[in-house]
Amino acid sequence: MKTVLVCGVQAPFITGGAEILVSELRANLERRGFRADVVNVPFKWYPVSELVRQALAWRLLDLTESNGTVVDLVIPTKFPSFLARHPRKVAWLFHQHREAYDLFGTSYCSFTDSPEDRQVREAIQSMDNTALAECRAIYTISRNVAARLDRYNGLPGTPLYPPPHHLGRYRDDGPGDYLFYAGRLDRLKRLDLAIDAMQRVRGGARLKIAGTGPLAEELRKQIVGLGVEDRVELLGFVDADSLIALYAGCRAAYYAPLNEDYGYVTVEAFLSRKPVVTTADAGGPLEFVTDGETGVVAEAEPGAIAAAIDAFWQLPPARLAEMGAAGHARVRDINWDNVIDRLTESLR
Amino acid sequence: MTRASRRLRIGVWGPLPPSSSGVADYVVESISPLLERADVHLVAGDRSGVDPAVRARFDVHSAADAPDADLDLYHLGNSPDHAFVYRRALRVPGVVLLHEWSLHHLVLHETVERGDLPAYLREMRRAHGERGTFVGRQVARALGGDLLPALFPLSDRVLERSLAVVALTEAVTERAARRIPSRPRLHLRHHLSLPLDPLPSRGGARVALGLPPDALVVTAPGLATATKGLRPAMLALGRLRRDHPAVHLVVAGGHDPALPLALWAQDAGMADAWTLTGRLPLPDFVRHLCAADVVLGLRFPSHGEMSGALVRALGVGRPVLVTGGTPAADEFPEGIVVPVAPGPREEDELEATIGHLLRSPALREAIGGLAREHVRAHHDLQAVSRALLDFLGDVHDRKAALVAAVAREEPAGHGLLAYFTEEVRAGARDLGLIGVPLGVDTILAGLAPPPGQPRTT
Repeated sequence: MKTVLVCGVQAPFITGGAEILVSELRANLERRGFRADVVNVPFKWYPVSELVRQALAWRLLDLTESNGTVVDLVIPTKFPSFLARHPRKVAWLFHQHREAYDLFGTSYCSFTDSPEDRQVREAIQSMDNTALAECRAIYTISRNVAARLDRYNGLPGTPLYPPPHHLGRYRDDGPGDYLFYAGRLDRLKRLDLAIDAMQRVRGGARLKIAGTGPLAEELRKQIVGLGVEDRVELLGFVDADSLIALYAGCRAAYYAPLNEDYGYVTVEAFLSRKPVVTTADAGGPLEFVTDGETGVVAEAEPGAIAAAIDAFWQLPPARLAEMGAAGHARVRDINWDNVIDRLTESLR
Repeated sequence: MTRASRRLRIGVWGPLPPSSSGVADYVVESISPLLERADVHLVAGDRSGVDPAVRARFDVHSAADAPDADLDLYHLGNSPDHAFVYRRALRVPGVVLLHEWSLHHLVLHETVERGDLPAYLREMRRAHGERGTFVGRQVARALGGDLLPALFPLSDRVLERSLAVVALTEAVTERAARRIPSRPRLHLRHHLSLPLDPLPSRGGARVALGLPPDALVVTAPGLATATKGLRPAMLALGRLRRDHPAVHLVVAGGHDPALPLALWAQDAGMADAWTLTGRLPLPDFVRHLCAADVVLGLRFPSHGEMSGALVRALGVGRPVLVTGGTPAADEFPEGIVVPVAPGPREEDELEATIGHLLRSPALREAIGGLAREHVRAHHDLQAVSRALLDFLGDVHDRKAALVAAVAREEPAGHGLLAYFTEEVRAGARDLGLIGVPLGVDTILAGLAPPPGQPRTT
């Protein structure tokens, strides 16, 4: 039995999509007959001066064997787990440390232009260049992540889409009367844009937001401040059955993050045969959403988004179903067997 | 050639008179006994600036053209006067004699005050991790007052570059032992040196100095800075004047011009009952100690130092008030010094303690007598010098191995690799693993290929 070690990176007490994905990867490796385990090293990304020391902890680990058991394959997932040393490393890259790359210089970045921060950024890029180049293969969770890797590090990555958590359970209950978002409430998801847009819509659209996160209170205040309590609903955490039902009953999903790595919302919506409203700078979602075919791609400003939502609300059910079917066709081949086959190819 | 058959050549690096650093006097006092068993030359920043009397007595050189020595002894204190010693100690490993533990102000001078803020932040991060980076930014902006630097010592790097360490207090010796456990270390008692023999009587000293013969003289010797507790001392003395109208405070030394001493004296009702001497020649400094009824040796925060003024005051047999919880209080047997807690009741404690001493000449004599006996028995200059020379001889015998151990700690390679190495070594240094091969150099080298070298796949 071949042994596979999945390298996760976890901020203690925080569980998100990446942690779920790591645990599902392990479960599916075991389902396919591998002896699999997960190693995690806590990661702290602030202050900037701590980053390199935290990253180097991975470099000092010997993952070639454990208590006499040889580790045949190591699968690092995100920065800095790919710094781990192993002769057979196949990365499945969720993302790099984006503040050192595409987010640098934006309001989403904590790096300053000081010499110390510049040195940290240079160090991260050097570590990434070297450690990722050591991999037998680099798979990425989206074309967008592969494009960044190529642009900033000159390294080739092959997209390998991860299946969503409830694969096989998504359904379509027909077009409803609300727009739906599910996910973490943080700044990069730009839900403030959607709430702002909801003040401007004229066609009677409503928005339901499921999930928790650091921006919950701020969003709540925005909803009250704009007087859209009757149009926007913060649902908080919802369980799996409710989530599937909310997707099944919506008219369309809303997902407009900034340059997202991948974005489960799009795939979950398409598996529920629902179109998606997104923006031109959303990143990962644009790999699936084609304007007018599988959803709507608007400019990232509230007026444009409101207009897109209004136009959407005018579509007849048959047209919505057509778009939902087109979306479904784009994601129906995303499955775990394909992921496991590709990641373990070097063991065969 | 064995040590017995050959005199050690020792280069002594440190500030020399007329430097305002108290270390300058210490260095000069320590040389004559060393010369009995070793060849010693002194190294100052610039020989031409050294007191001509010192140049006439000893072989003095400038740092730029210092001769070779079997062993260099570096006197390091926490002021810019030691900058040339610090630079040399980092470059050429020798034996570091730490006059205090912090060295923060010295490093601040070597970095921020020379326009190199990043270097200071690197030092703070190296020594104190992420808290160091945060506090470093505060200190560099002149925020945080005197206390913050005191809480963040910056002596690690120079210790790690040293072959051995000598410290004047047990507190500093123990901290050095934790930091560099594999290097030789010596707790060297601060020597007693009194330039007057015989010492003048109290009355004789007062006549010589022009102090009132019947006053109750409380003397604060040495450079007056914010750390010397003069504010609460003045307030306490002001209260004591009601019962002791003859009380008189003498600040025997120079002072930090930022310190509003005159204003404090006025606030305390001491405006007409205090004297500021300015910097004194050593004999007059000792006369002031002899003229005192009570001596103030307060210091807070402490960086683990042992004050030369304190040892001299004890040596002339005067009761000395010191700050509780500092080496000055903790490292003498009970009854030799009079500790005063530095907390919010310091002023009350000072009033009570000084008042008690002023009321009881017999108690003052008893404490002073014990103090004199103790330091003369345990802080004798000749004995201290012998201990130092024996230690230096031992270090010299092991010099090759110690030099190799220091070399193992040198940052490797170019900029990025050196950065990575430092980040990893921080964890080892926290555990006292100095000079211990970590086996990480090759691993890290792969992550930071030299500029221009293509990465391997």
